Amino acid sequence: MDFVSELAVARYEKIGEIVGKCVEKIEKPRTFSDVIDTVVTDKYVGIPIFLSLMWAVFQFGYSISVPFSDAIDVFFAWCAGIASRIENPYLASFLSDGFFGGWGFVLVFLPPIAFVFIALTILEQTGYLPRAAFVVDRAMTRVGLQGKSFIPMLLGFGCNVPAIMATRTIDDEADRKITIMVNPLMSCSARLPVYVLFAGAFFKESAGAVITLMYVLGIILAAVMATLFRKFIFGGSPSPLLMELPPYEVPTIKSALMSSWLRIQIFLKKAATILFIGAVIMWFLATHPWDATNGGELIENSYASMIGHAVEPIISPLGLDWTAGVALVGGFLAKEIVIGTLAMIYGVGEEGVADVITQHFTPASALALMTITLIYVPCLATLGVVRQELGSWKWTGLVLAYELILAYIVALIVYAVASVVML
Amino acid sequence: MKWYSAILFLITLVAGLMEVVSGLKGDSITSLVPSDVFGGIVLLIVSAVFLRGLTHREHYAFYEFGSLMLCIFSVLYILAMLANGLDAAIVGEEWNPIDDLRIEMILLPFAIPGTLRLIREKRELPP
Repeated sequence: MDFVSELAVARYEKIGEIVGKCVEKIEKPRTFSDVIDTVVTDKYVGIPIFLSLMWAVFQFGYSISVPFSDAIDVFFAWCAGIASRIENPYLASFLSDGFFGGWGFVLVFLPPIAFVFIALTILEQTGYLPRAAFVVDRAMTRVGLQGKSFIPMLLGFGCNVPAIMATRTIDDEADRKITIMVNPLMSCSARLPVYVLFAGAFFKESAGAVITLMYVLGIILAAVMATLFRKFIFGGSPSPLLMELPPYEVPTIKSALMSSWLRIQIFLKKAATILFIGAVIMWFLATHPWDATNGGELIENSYASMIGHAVEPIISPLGLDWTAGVALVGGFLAKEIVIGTLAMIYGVGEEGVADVITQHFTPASALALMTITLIYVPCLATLGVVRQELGSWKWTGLVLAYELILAYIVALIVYAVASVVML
Repeated sequence: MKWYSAILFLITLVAGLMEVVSGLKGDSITSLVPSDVFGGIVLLIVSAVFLRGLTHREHYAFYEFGSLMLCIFSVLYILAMLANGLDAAIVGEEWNPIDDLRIEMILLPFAIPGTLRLIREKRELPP
Protein backbone atom coordinates (compact mmCIF):
# COMPACT_ATOMS: atom_id res chain seq x y z
CA MET A 1 0.00 0.00 0.00
CA ASP A 2 1.43 3.41 -0.96
CA PHE A 3 1.51 6.46 1.27
CA VAL A 4 -1.61 8.10 -0.23
CA SER A 5 -3.71 4.94 0.28
CA GLU A 6 -2.46 4.52 3.84
CA LEU A 7 -3.35 8.13 4.55
CA ALA A 8 -6.88 7.61 3.15
CA VAL A 9 -7.40 4.46 5.24
CA ALA A 10 -6.18 6.22 8.39
CA ARG A 11 -8.48 9.16 7.71
CA TYR A 12 -11.51 6.92 7.31
CA GLU A 13 -10.66 4.99 10.48
CA LYS A 14 -10.53 8.27 12.40
CA ILE A 15 -13.81 9.42 10.82
CA GLY A 16 -15.44 6.10 11.80
CA GLU A 17 -14.17 6.49 15.35
CA ILE A 18 -15.56 10.03 15.71
CA VAL A 19 -18.91 9.17 14.07
CA GLY A 20 -19.24 6.13 16.37
CA LYS A 21 -18.87 8.36 19.43
CA CYS A 22 -21.17 11.23 18.47
CA VAL A 23 -23.91 9.72 16.24
CA GLU A 24 -26.68 7.64 17.76
CA LYS A 25 -28.46 5.29 15.36
CA ILE A 26 -32.21 5.06 15.85
CA GLU A 27 -34.11 2.11 14.46
CA LYS A 28 -36.43 3.57 11.79
CA PRO A 29 -40.03 2.32 12.16
CA ARG A 30 -41.16 0.11 9.31
CA THR A 31 -43.46 1.97 6.92
CA PHE A 32 -46.12 0.86 4.47
CA SER A 33 -43.87 2.07 1.63
CA ASP A 34 -41.11 -0.23 2.92
CA VAL A 35 -43.48 -3.21 2.63
CA ILE A 36 -44.39 -2.44 -0.99
CA ASP A 37 -40.86 -1.40 -1.98
CA THR A 38 -39.51 -4.74 -0.79
CA VAL A 39 -41.50 -6.32 -3.63
CA VAL A 40 -41.59 -3.74 -6.46
CA THR A 41 -37.87 -2.97 -6.25
CA ASP A 42 -36.85 -6.59 -5.82
CA LYS A 43 -33.97 -7.52 -8.11
CA TYR A 44 -35.75 -10.59 -9.49
CA VAL A 45 -39.42 -9.64 -9.76
CA GLY A 46 -39.17 -5.80 -9.92
CA ILE A 47 -38.89 -5.50 -13.70
CA PRO A 48 -41.45 -8.27 -14.49
CA ILE A 49 -43.92 -6.51 -12.15
CA PHE A 50 -43.28 -3.22 -13.98
CA LEU A 51 -43.90 -4.88 -17.37
CA SER A 52 -47.07 -6.63 -16.20
CA LEU A 53 -48.46 -3.37 -14.77
CA MET A 54 -47.75 -1.59 -18.07
CA TRP A 55 -49.54 -4.43 -19.86
CA ALA A 56 -52.51 -3.94 -17.50
CA VAL A 57 -52.57 -0.22 -18.39
CA PHE A 58 -52.87 -0.90 -22.12
CA GLN A 59 -55.23 -3.83 -21.67
CA PHE A 60 -57.43 -1.51 -19.59
CA GLY A 61 -57.28 1.15 -22.32
CA TYR A 62 -58.09 -1.31 -25.08
CA SER A 63 -60.74 -3.53 -23.47
CA ILE A 64 -62.79 -1.08 -21.46
CA SER A 65 -63.01 1.60 -24.14
CA VAL A 66 -64.64 -0.55 -26.83
CA PRO A 67 -68.31 0.32 -26.05
CA PHE A 68 -67.53 4.04 -25.80
CA SER A 69 -65.67 4.01 -29.12
CA ASP A 70 -68.55 2.14 -30.73
CA ALA A 71 -71.07 4.66 -29.35
CA ILE A 72 -69.09 7.56 -30.89
CA ASP A 73 -68.74 5.52 -34.07
CA VAL A 74 -72.48 4.95 -34.32
CA PHE A 75 -73.22 8.63 -33.66
CA PHE A 76 -70.89 10.03 -36.34
CA ALA A 77 -71.96 7.40 -38.86
CA TRP A 78 -75.53 8.56 -38.26
CA CYS A 79 -74.50 12.22 -38.76
CA ALA A 80 -72.56 11.35 -41.93
CA GLY A 81 -75.55 9.38 -43.21
CA ILE A 82 -77.83 12.40 -42.81
CA ALA A 83 -75.25 14.73 -44.43
CA SER A 84 -74.87 12.42 -47.42
CA ARG A 85 -78.55 13.01 -48.29
CA ILE A 86 -77.90 16.69 -49.10
CA GLU A 87 -78.64 17.34 -52.78
CA ASN A 88 -75.48 19.29 -53.58
CA PRO A 89 -72.95 16.43 -54.07
CA TYR A 90 -69.91 18.60 -53.26
CA LEU A 91 -71.39 19.80 -49.98
CA ALA A 92 -72.67 16.30 -49.18
CA SER A 93 -69.22 14.79 -49.77
CA PHE A 94 -67.50 17.51 -47.74
CA LEU A 95 -69.90 17.21 -44.80
CA SER A 96 -70.24 13.42 -44.69
CA ASP A 97 -66.65 12.39 -45.52
CA GLY A 98 -64.64 15.50 -44.65
CA PHE A 99 -66.45 17.06 -41.69
CA PHE A 100 -68.30 14.27 -39.86
CA GLY A 101 -65.91 11.63 -41.18
CA GLY A 102 -62.96 13.69 -39.96
CA TRP A 103 -64.43 14.25 -36.51
CA GLY A 104 -65.55 10.64 -36.25
CA PHE A 105 -62.13 9.24 -37.14
CA VAL A 106 -60.45 11.43 -34.58
CA LEU A 107 -62.93 11.12 -31.72
CA VAL A 108 -63.50 7.39 -32.04
CA PHE A 109 -60.02 6.96 -30.57
CA LEU A 110 -60.61 9.31 -27.69
CA PRO A 111 -61.90 6.54 -25.34
CA PRO A 112 -58.83 4.23 -25.56
CA ILE A 113 -56.53 7.24 -25.15
CA ALA A 114 -58.60 8.54 -22.23
CA PHE A 115 -58.60 5.15 -20.49
CA VAL A 116 -54.83 4.77 -20.92
CA PHE A 117 -54.39 8.26 -19.44
CA ILE A 118 -56.65 7.36 -16.51
CA ALA A 119 -54.71 4.16 -15.82
CA LEU A 120 -51.34 5.92 -16.07
CA THR A 121 -52.56 8.72 -13.79
CA ILE A 122 -53.71 6.20 -11.17
CA LEU A 123 -50.31 4.51 -11.36
CA GLU A 124 -48.60 7.90 -11.08
CA GLN A 125 -50.69 8.99 -8.09
CA THR A 126 -50.01 5.81 -6.14
CA GLY A 127 -46.34 6.80 -6.14
CA TYR A 128 -45.28 3.71 -8.10
CA LEU A 129 -43.71 5.49 -11.09
CA PRO A 130 -40.61 6.82 -9.25
CA ARG A 131 -40.04 3.21 -8.12
CA ALA A 132 -40.33 2.14 -11.72
CA ALA A 133 -37.64 4.73 -12.54
CA PHE A 134 -35.48 3.23 -9.80
CA VAL A 135 -36.09 -0.31 -11.08
CA VAL A 136 -35.18 0.54 -14.66
CA ASP A 137 -32.31 2.93 -13.80
CA ARG A 138 -29.70 0.20 -13.95
CA ALA A 139 -30.94 -0.88 -17.36
CA MET A 140 -31.06 2.74 -18.56
CA THR A 141 -27.51 3.42 -17.46
CA ARG A 142 -26.43 0.37 -19.44
CA VAL A 143 -27.93 1.82 -22.62
CA GLY A 144 -26.31 5.21 -22.16
CA LEU A 145 -29.22 7.06 -20.59
CA GLN A 146 -29.46 8.28 -17.03
CA GLY A 147 -32.23 7.69 -14.49
CA LYS A 148 -33.61 11.22 -14.97
CA SER A 149 -34.30 10.29 -18.61
CA PHE A 150 -36.95 7.88 -17.40
CA ILE A 151 -39.61 10.53 -16.69
CA PRO A 152 -39.40 12.18 -20.16
CA MET A 153 -39.38 8.71 -21.72
CA LEU A 154 -42.47 7.74 -19.73
CA LEU A 155 -44.20 11.02 -20.63
CA GLY A 156 -43.50 10.07 -24.24
CA PHE A 157 -46.20 7.40 -23.93
CA GLY A 158 -48.68 10.25 -23.63
CA CYS A 159 -47.28 12.84 -26.04
CA ASN A 160 -43.73 13.36 -27.28
CA VAL A 161 -44.05 17.17 -27.26
CA PRO A 162 -44.24 17.71 -23.45
CA ALA A 163 -41.95 14.71 -23.00
CA ILE A 164 -39.17 16.34 -25.03
CA MET A 165 -39.70 19.62 -23.19
CA ALA A 166 -39.39 17.72 -19.89
CA THR A 167 -35.77 16.86 -20.78
CA ARG A 168 -34.87 20.37 -19.56
CA THR A 169 -34.58 18.82 -16.09
CA ILE A 170 -31.54 16.85 -17.29
CA ASP A 171 -28.39 18.84 -16.50
CA ASP A 172 -25.86 16.98 -18.61
CA GLU A 173 -26.02 18.21 -22.23
CA ALA A 174 -25.09 14.88 -23.82
CA ASP A 175 -27.63 12.98 -21.67
CA ARG A 176 -30.29 15.54 -22.61
CA LYS A 177 -29.57 15.36 -26.34
CA ILE A 178 -29.65 11.56 -26.38
CA THR A 179 -32.95 11.55 -24.47
CA ILE A 180 -34.47 14.03 -26.96
CA MET A 181 -33.23 12.07 -29.97
CA VAL A 182 -34.67 8.73 -28.84
CA ASN A 183 -37.85 10.09 -27.24
CA PRO A 184 -39.94 9.96 -30.46
CA LEU A 185 -39.47 6.17 -30.35
CA MET A 186 -41.62 6.05 -27.23
CA SER A 187 -45.03 5.24 -28.60
CA CYS A 188 -47.23 8.31 -28.01
CA SER A 189 -51.00 8.12 -27.70
CA ALA A 190 -51.40 9.29 -31.32
CA ARG A 191 -50.06 5.94 -32.51
CA LEU A 192 -52.44 3.98 -30.30
CA PRO A 193 -55.43 4.30 -32.70
CA VAL A 194 -53.41 2.63 -35.45
CA TYR A 195 -52.45 -0.24 -33.15
CA VAL A 196 -55.99 -0.55 -31.77
CA LEU A 197 -57.51 -0.78 -35.24
CA PHE A 198 -54.99 -3.17 -36.82
CA ALA A 199 -54.43 -5.34 -33.74
CA GLY A 200 -58.20 -5.56 -33.21
CA ALA A 201 -58.82 -6.50 -36.84
CA PHE A 202 -56.02 -9.04 -37.27
CA PHE A 203 -55.17 -10.38 -33.80
CA LYS A 204 -58.54 -10.30 -32.05
CA GLU A 205 -57.81 -12.34 -28.90
CA SER A 206 -54.20 -11.18 -28.69
CA ALA A 207 -54.86 -7.53 -29.57
CA GLY A 208 -53.75 -6.29 -26.14
CA ALA A 209 -50.58 -8.33 -26.40
CA VAL A 210 -49.76 -7.05 -29.89
CA ILE A 211 -50.26 -3.46 -28.74
CA THR A 212 -48.00 -4.10 -25.74
CA LEU A 213 -45.40 -5.61 -28.09
CA MET A 214 -45.40 -2.40 -30.12
CA TYR A 215 -44.70 -0.39 -27.00
CA VAL A 216 -41.98 -2.83 -25.95
CA LEU A 217 -40.45 -2.64 -29.45
CA GLY A 218 -40.33 1.17 -29.13
CA ILE A 219 -38.56 0.85 -25.77
CA ILE A 220 -36.04 -1.67 -27.15
CA LEU A 221 -35.28 0.50 -30.19
CA ALA A 222 -34.88 3.58 -27.98
CA ALA A 223 -32.39 1.59 -25.88
CA VAL A 224 -30.46 0.43 -28.96
CA MET A 225 -30.32 3.91 -30.50
CA ALA A 226 -29.34 5.51 -27.18
CA THR A 227 -26.48 3.01 -26.88
CA LEU A 228 -25.32 3.78 -30.42
CA PHE A 229 -25.58 7.56 -29.94
CA ARG A 230 -23.65 7.34 -26.66
CA LYS A 231 -20.97 5.11 -28.14
CA PHE A 232 -20.43 6.68 -31.56
CA ILE A 233 -21.50 10.33 -31.22
CA PHE A 234 -21.41 11.64 -27.65
CA GLY A 235 -19.07 9.35 -25.71
CA GLY A 236 -18.64 9.52 -21.91
CA SER A 237 -21.00 7.88 -19.42
CA PRO A 238 -24.39 8.93 -17.99
CA SER A 239 -24.59 10.71 -14.63
CA PRO A 240 -25.99 8.76 -11.63
CA LEU A 241 -29.65 8.86 -10.51
CA LEU A 242 -30.54 10.64 -7.28
CA MET A 243 -34.23 10.94 -6.52
CA GLU A 244 -36.57 10.98 -3.55
CA LEU A 245 -39.17 8.22 -3.37
CA PRO A 246 -42.53 9.61 -2.20
CA PRO A 247 -44.72 7.51 0.13
CA TYR A 248 -47.45 5.39 -1.47
CA GLU A 249 -50.91 6.93 -1.60
CA VAL A 250 -54.33 5.60 -2.52
CA PRO A 251 -55.46 7.80 -5.44
CA THR A 252 -58.94 9.24 -5.30
CA ILE A 253 -61.22 8.85 -8.32
CA LYS A 254 -61.78 12.61 -8.45
CA SER A 255 -58.11 13.56 -8.55
CA ALA A 256 -57.31 10.78 -11.05
CA LEU A 257 -60.10 11.92 -13.36
CA MET A 258 -59.11 15.58 -13.05
CA SER A 259 -55.44 14.90 -13.86
CA SER A 260 -56.45 12.67 -16.76
CA TRP A 261 -58.81 15.35 -18.02
CA LEU A 262 -55.91 17.81 -18.31
CA ARG A 263 -54.10 15.31 -20.58
CA ILE A 264 -57.27 14.51 -22.52
CA GLN A 265 -57.77 18.24 -23.16
CA ILE A 266 -54.41 18.36 -24.95
CA PHE A 267 -55.63 15.59 -27.27
CA LEU A 268 -58.98 17.33 -27.82
CA LYS A 269 -57.27 20.63 -28.68
CA LYS A 270 -55.06 18.79 -31.15
CA ALA A 271 -58.13 17.00 -32.53
CA ALA A 272 -59.94 20.28 -33.05
CA THR A 273 -57.04 21.88 -34.90
CA ILE A 274 -54.28 19.85 -36.55
CA LEU A 275 -56.21 16.58 -36.84
CA PHE A 276 -59.41 18.08 -38.18
CA ILE A 277 -57.56 20.24 -40.72
CA GLY A 278 -55.47 17.20 -41.65
CA ALA A 279 -58.63 15.14 -42.18
CA VAL A 280 -60.08 17.85 -44.43
CA ILE A 281 -56.82 18.03 -46.43
CA MET A 282 -56.94 14.26 -46.90
CA TRP A 283 -60.58 14.50 -47.99
CA PHE A 284 -59.52 17.13 -50.56
CA LEU A 285 -56.66 14.97 -51.86
CA ALA A 286 -58.92 11.90 -52.07
CA THR A 287 -61.77 13.63 -53.93
CA HIS A 288 -59.92 16.03 -56.27
CA PRO A 289 -59.65 16.78 -59.14
CA TRP A 290 -63.43 16.70 -58.57
CA ASP A 291 -64.37 15.91 -62.17
CA ALA A 292 -61.63 13.32 -62.71
CA THR A 293 -62.65 11.44 -59.56
CA ASN A 294 -66.32 11.78 -60.47
CA GLY A 295 -67.09 13.45 -57.16
CA GLY A 296 -64.71 11.33 -55.12
CA GLU A 297 -65.92 7.99 -56.47
CA LEU A 298 -62.90 7.18 -58.64
CA ILE A 299 -60.18 7.43 -56.04
CA GLU A 300 -57.60 6.07 -58.51
CA ASN A 301 -57.72 9.42 -60.35
CA SER A 302 -57.22 11.54 -57.22
CA TYR A 303 -54.21 13.47 -55.99
CA ALA A 304 -54.02 11.01 -53.08
CA SER A 305 -53.65 8.14 -55.54
CA MET A 306 -50.81 9.96 -57.32
CA ILE A 307 -48.98 10.43 -54.00
CA GLY A 308 -49.62 6.82 -53.00
CA HIS A 309 -48.38 5.39 -56.29
CA ALA A 310 -45.22 7.52 -56.03
CA VAL A 311 -44.49 5.96 -52.61
CA GLU A 312 -45.63 2.42 -53.49
CA PRO A 313 -42.32 1.11 -54.95
CA ILE A 314 -40.60 1.94 -51.67
CA ILE A 315 -43.14 0.24 -49.39
CA SER A 316 -44.16 -2.72 -51.56
CA PRO A 317 -41.36 -4.94 -50.10
CA LEU A 318 -43.20 -4.51 -46.77
CA GLY A 319 -46.39 -5.94 -48.24
CA LEU A 320 -47.98 -2.49 -48.36
CA ASP A 321 -49.78 -1.01 -51.33
CA TRP A 322 -50.34 2.59 -52.46
CA THR A 323 -53.25 3.09 -50.06
CA ALA A 324 -50.94 2.54 -47.09
CA GLY A 325 -48.50 4.93 -48.77
CA VAL A 326 -51.07 7.74 -48.78
CA ALA A 327 -51.94 7.03 -45.14
CA LEU A 328 -48.29 7.10 -44.09
CA VAL A 329 -47.69 10.36 -45.96
CA GLY A 330 -50.72 11.80 -44.16
CA GLY A 331 -49.20 10.55 -40.92
CA PHE A 332 -46.33 13.03 -41.35
CA LEU A 333 -48.78 15.70 -40.23
CA ALA A 334 -50.13 13.66 -37.30
CA LYS A 335 -50.27 9.93 -36.72
CA GLU A 336 -54.00 9.94 -35.94
CA ILE A 337 -54.69 10.84 -39.57
CA VAL A 338 -53.45 7.43 -40.79
CA ILE A 339 -56.73 5.63 -40.03
CA GLY A 340 -59.00 8.38 -41.33
CA THR A 341 -57.04 8.48 -44.57
CA LEU A 342 -57.35 4.73 -45.09
CA ALA A 343 -61.11 4.85 -44.50
CA MET A 344 -61.48 7.73 -46.93
CA ILE A 345 -59.51 5.92 -49.62
CA TYR A 346 -61.50 2.72 -49.17
CA GLY A 347 -64.69 4.77 -49.27
CA VAL A 348 -66.09 3.42 -46.01
CA GLY A 349 -67.32 5.04 -42.83
CA GLU A 350 -65.44 4.64 -39.59
CA GLU A 351 -67.62 1.64 -38.77
CA GLY A 352 -66.44 -0.24 -41.86
CA VAL A 353 -62.72 0.44 -41.86
CA ALA A 354 -61.87 -2.55 -39.63
CA ASP A 355 -63.60 -4.92 -42.07
CA VAL A 356 -62.05 -3.39 -45.18
CA ILE A 357 -58.45 -3.42 -43.99
CA THR A 358 -58.59 -7.20 -43.65
CA GLN A 359 -59.02 -7.31 -47.43
CA HIS A 360 -56.09 -4.98 -48.14
CA PHE A 361 -53.59 -6.15 -45.53
CA THR A 362 -52.32 -9.48 -44.25
CA PRO A 363 -51.44 -9.98 -40.56
CA ALA A 364 -47.75 -9.62 -41.55
CA SER A 365 -48.26 -6.39 -43.52
CA ALA A 366 -50.50 -5.06 -40.72
CA LEU A 367 -47.60 -5.61 -38.31
CA ALA A 368 -45.26 -3.87 -40.79
CA LEU A 369 -47.59 -0.86 -40.95
CA MET A 370 -47.84 -0.71 -37.16
CA THR A 371 -44.05 -0.90 -36.93
CA ILE A 372 -43.55 1.93 -39.42
CA THR A 373 -46.14 4.01 -37.60
CA LEU A 374 -44.25 3.40 -34.36
CA ILE A 375 -40.85 4.43 -35.69
CA TYR A 376 -41.04 6.78 -38.67
CA VAL A 377 -41.00 10.56 -38.48
CA PRO A 378 -42.79 11.93 -35.44
CA CYS A 379 -45.61 14.37 -36.13
CA LEU A 380 -44.85 17.93 -37.24
CA ALA A 381 -45.39 19.27 -33.72
CA THR A 382 -42.81 16.85 -32.26
CA LEU A 383 -40.34 17.68 -35.01
CA GLY A 384 -40.77 21.39 -34.18
CA VAL A 385 -40.02 20.76 -30.50
CA VAL A 386 -37.03 18.56 -31.37
CA ARG A 387 -35.63 21.45 -33.44
CA GLN A 388 -36.35 23.93 -30.63
CA GLU A 389 -34.76 21.82 -27.89
CA LEU A 390 -31.75 20.61 -29.89
CA GLY A 391 -31.28 24.12 -31.28
CA SER A 392 -29.94 22.85 -34.58
CA TRP A 393 -31.27 21.75 -37.94
CA LYS A 394 -28.34 19.35 -38.24
CA TRP A 395 -29.42 17.33 -35.18
CA THR A 396 -33.08 17.52 -36.21
CA GLY A 397 -32.13 16.23 -39.66
CA LEU A 398 -30.25 13.37 -38.02
CA VAL A 399 -33.35 12.44 -35.97
CA LEU A 400 -35.49 12.56 -39.11
CA ALA A 401 -33.05 10.48 -41.16
CA TYR A 402 -32.34 7.79 -38.58
CA GLU A 403 -36.05 7.32 -37.85
CA LEU A 404 -36.95 6.89 -41.51
CA ILE A 405 -34.14 4.41 -42.12
CA LEU A 406 -34.78 2.54 -38.87
CA ALA A 407 -38.53 2.36 -39.56
CA TYR A 408 -37.91 0.82 -42.96
CA ILE A 409 -35.33 -1.72 -41.80
CA VAL A 410 -37.28 -2.85 -38.72
CA ALA A 411 -40.58 -3.03 -40.63
CA LEU A 412 -38.85 -5.14 -43.28
CA ILE A 413 -37.54 -7.53 -40.62
CA VAL A 414 -40.94 -7.67 -38.85
CA TYR A 415 -42.70 -8.36 -42.16
CA ALA A 416 -40.25 -11.09 -43.15
CA VAL A 417 -40.38 -12.82 -39.75
CA ALA A 418 -44.17 -12.50 -39.47
CA SER A 419 -44.64 -13.85 -43.01
CA VAL A 420 -42.61 -16.95 -42.15
CA VAL A 421 -44.22 -17.49 -38.72
CA MET A 422 -47.78 -16.94 -39.92
CA LEU A 423 -47.56 -19.11 -43.02
CA MET B 1 -49.41 -18.39 5.93
CA LYS B 2 -46.56 -19.69 3.82
CA TRP B 3 -48.65 -22.70 2.89
CA TYR B 4 -51.33 -20.38 1.45
CA SER B 5 -48.70 -18.51 -0.59
CA ALA B 6 -47.48 -21.87 -1.87
CA ILE B 7 -51.04 -22.80 -2.93
CA LEU B 8 -51.46 -19.46 -4.71
CA PHE B 9 -48.11 -19.96 -6.40
CA LEU B 10 -49.15 -23.38 -7.69
CA ILE B 11 -52.62 -22.26 -8.83
CA THR B 12 -51.33 -19.19 -10.70
CA LEU B 13 -48.46 -21.21 -12.17
CA VAL B 14 -50.77 -23.89 -13.54
CA ALA B 15 -53.33 -21.34 -14.79
CA GLY B 16 -50.60 -19.24 -16.41
CA LEU B 17 -49.00 -22.23 -18.10
CA MET B 18 -52.39 -23.37 -19.40
CA GLU B 19 -53.07 -19.93 -20.89
CA VAL B 20 -49.63 -19.79 -22.51
CA VAL B 21 -49.98 -23.32 -23.94
CA SER B 22 -53.51 -22.51 -25.18
CA GLY B 23 -52.16 -19.34 -26.77
CA LEU B 24 -49.33 -21.17 -28.51
CA LYS B 25 -51.70 -23.90 -29.69
CA GLY B 26 -54.20 -21.26 -30.81
CA ASP B 27 -57.03 -23.14 -29.13
CA SER B 28 -58.49 -22.98 -25.61
CA ILE B 29 -57.87 -26.01 -23.38
CA THR B 30 -61.13 -25.34 -21.52
CA SER B 31 -63.70 -22.56 -21.83
CA LEU B 32 -62.27 -20.87 -18.72
CA VAL B 33 -58.74 -20.75 -20.08
CA PRO B 34 -58.46 -18.38 -23.03
CA SER B 35 -55.69 -18.75 -25.59
CA ASP B 36 -53.81 -15.70 -24.40
CA VAL B 37 -50.02 -15.92 -24.25
CA PHE B 38 -49.52 -12.53 -22.61
CA GLY B 39 -52.37 -13.01 -20.14
CA GLY B 40 -50.66 -16.30 -19.22
CA ILE B 41 -47.26 -14.63 -18.84
CA VAL B 42 -48.81 -12.09 -16.48
CA LEU B 43 -50.18 -14.95 -14.35
CA LEU B 44 -46.72 -16.52 -14.37
CA ILE B 45 -45.28 -13.22 -13.11
CA VAL B 46 -47.84 -13.24 -10.29
CA SER B 47 -46.83 -16.80 -9.47
CA ALA B 48 -43.16 -15.70 -9.50
CA VAL B 49 -44.01 -13.03 -6.89
CA PHE B 50 -45.55 -15.69 -4.63
CA LEU B 51 -42.56 -17.97 -5.23
CA ARG B 52 -40.07 -15.22 -4.40
CA GLY B 53 -41.97 -14.64 -1.16
CA LEU B 54 -41.51 -18.30 -0.15
CA THR B 55 -37.74 -17.83 -0.04
CA HIS B 56 -37.66 -14.23 1.24
CA ARG B 57 -37.46 -13.20 4.90
CA GLU B 58 -40.24 -10.65 4.30
CA HIS B 59 -42.54 -13.25 2.87
CA TYR B 60 -45.74 -11.39 3.85
CA ALA B 61 -44.88 -8.44 1.61
CA PHE B 62 -44.71 -10.74 -1.43
CA TYR B 63 -47.85 -12.62 -0.42
CA GLU B 64 -49.80 -9.35 -0.04
CA PHE B 65 -48.51 -7.72 -3.22
CA GLY B 66 -49.00 -10.91 -5.24
CA SER B 67 -52.59 -11.04 -3.98
CA LEU B 68 -53.06 -7.37 -4.94
CA MET B 69 -51.78 -8.07 -8.46
CA LEU B 70 -54.12 -11.04 -8.79
CA CYS B 71 -56.98 -8.81 -7.63
CA ILE B 72 -56.07 -6.07 -10.14
CA PHE B 73 -56.04 -8.50 -13.07
CA SER B 74 -59.25 -10.22 -11.95
CA VAL B 75 -61.05 -6.88 -11.70
CA LEU B 76 -59.59 -5.83 -15.07
CA TYR B 77 -61.09 -8.90 -16.77
CA ILE B 78 -64.42 -8.42 -15.00
CA LEU B 79 -64.52 -4.81 -16.28
CA ALA B 80 -63.63 -6.06 -19.76
CA MET B 81 -66.49 -8.55 -19.56
CA LEU B 82 -68.95 -5.82 -18.55
CA ALA B 83 -67.61 -3.60 -21.34
CA ASN B 84 -68.26 -6.41 -23.83
CA GLY B 85 -71.84 -6.64 -22.58
CA LEU B 86 -72.33 -2.89 -22.96
CA ASP B 87 -70.77 -2.98 -26.42
CA ALA B 88 -73.09 -5.78 -27.49
CA ALA B 89 -76.05 -3.67 -26.38
CA ILE B 90 -74.78 -0.65 -28.35
CA VAL B 91 -74.10 -2.47 -31.62
CA GLY B 92 -77.09 -4.80 -31.22
CA GLU B 93 -75.27 -8.12 -30.96
CA GLU B 94 -76.00 -11.09 -28.73
CA TRP B 95 -73.83 -11.46 -25.66
CA ASN B 96 -73.35 -14.37 -23.34
CA PRO B 97 -71.33 -13.49 -20.20
CA ILE B 98 -70.25 -17.13 -19.90
CA ASP B 99 -68.16 -16.66 -23.07
CA ASP B 100 -66.13 -13.92 -21.36
CA LEU B 101 -65.44 -15.82 -18.14
CA ARG B 102 -61.75 -16.31 -17.44
CA ILE B 103 -59.87 -18.29 -14.85
CA GLU B 104 -58.51 -15.05 -13.32
CA MET B 105 -62.07 -14.12 -12.29
CA ILE B 106 -62.46 -17.46 -10.50
CA LEU B 107 -59.18 -16.78 -8.69
CA LEU B 108 -60.38 -13.42 -7.32
CA PRO B 109 -61.73 -14.85 -4.00
CA PHE B 110 -58.34 -16.49 -3.36
CA ALA B 111 -56.66 -13.07 -3.64
CA ILE B 112 -58.98 -11.26 -1.26
CA PRO B 113 -57.37 -12.34 2.10
CA GLY B 114 -53.94 -11.07 1.04
CA THR B 115 -55.34 -7.84 -0.36
CA LEU B 116 -57.35 -7.19 2.80
CA ARG B 117 -54.21 -7.76 4.83
CA LEU B 118 -52.39 -5.19 2.71
CA ILE B 119 -55.21 -2.68 3.20
CA ARG B 120 -55.03 -3.27 6.94
CA GLU B 121 -51.27 -2.63 6.89
CA LYS B 122 -51.86 0.59 4.95
CA ARG B 123 -54.09 1.75 7.81
CA GLU B 124 -51.83 0.60 10.64
CA LEU B 125 -48.31 1.41 9.41
CA PRO B 126 -46.91 4.93 8.87
CA PRO B 127 -46.92 5.88 5.16
